[in-house]
Amino acid sequence: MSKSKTEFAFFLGCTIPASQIFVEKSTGLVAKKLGIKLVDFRGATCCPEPEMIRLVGHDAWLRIAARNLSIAETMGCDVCVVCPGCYDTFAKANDEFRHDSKLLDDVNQSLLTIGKHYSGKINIRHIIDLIYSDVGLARLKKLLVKRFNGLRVAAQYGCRLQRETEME
Amino acid sequence: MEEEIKRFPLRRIIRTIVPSSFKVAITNLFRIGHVPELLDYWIDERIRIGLEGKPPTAYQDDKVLSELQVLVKNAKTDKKIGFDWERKELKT
Repeated sequence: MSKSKTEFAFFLGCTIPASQIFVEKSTGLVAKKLGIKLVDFRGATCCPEPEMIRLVGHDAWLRIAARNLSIAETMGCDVCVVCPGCYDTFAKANDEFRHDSKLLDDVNQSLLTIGKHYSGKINIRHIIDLIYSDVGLARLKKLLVKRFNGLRVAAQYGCRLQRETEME
Repeated sequence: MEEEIKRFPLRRIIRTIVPSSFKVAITNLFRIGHVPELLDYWIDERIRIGLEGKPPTAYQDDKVLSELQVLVKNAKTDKKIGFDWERKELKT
């Protein structure tokens, strides 16, 4: 779906631009260094939030997610997310759209009222996946400036990144 | 509300089905298009580190918010959970 494999619509989410601004800034700097082009995702709303909204208003949750993804589709880019919650919402909503064409048609009827359409073809990539899979560890090692030898680190990926295995 | 109950004793009081811990998130999503509000402090901080004061989302553009609200109404989620669009809060 991407214009090129290195250009992505950068979805900020809610918490990152509203209080975790160092994540937004550093992601931009790191992506630039690694040759990943992040394009402004203009016109986004909350993804929406993957637990509360999905539980009490599944239909609205799907429609709002589809609206956001339709923007990326118009841009011609796959989506890059940093927040594991946004990743969870988009991956799960996309999975529902790809397995239920009637549901996607129903959602598109709703999107039509605001002049939008989503075909379900956008891919969702988390920045960790992009760095690991697309940039690769070999290239990362070449770019190392400072080594933290002996430093013991506990990795916390965010539980929502580890989605169900049957999801594509 | 109490006065209304006295005047219309048979009227059913609509209460939201939304758990209290969800209320702020859902109200904010429908009201501003995002879960947290963007405080002036963070707008200043964003500018200080070289970011756009308001990100190019519903925080910046009212048209974006109105599109979200249309979708919520299309899905009838506002009626299901008892959201009052005039007061911009859940009916309690």
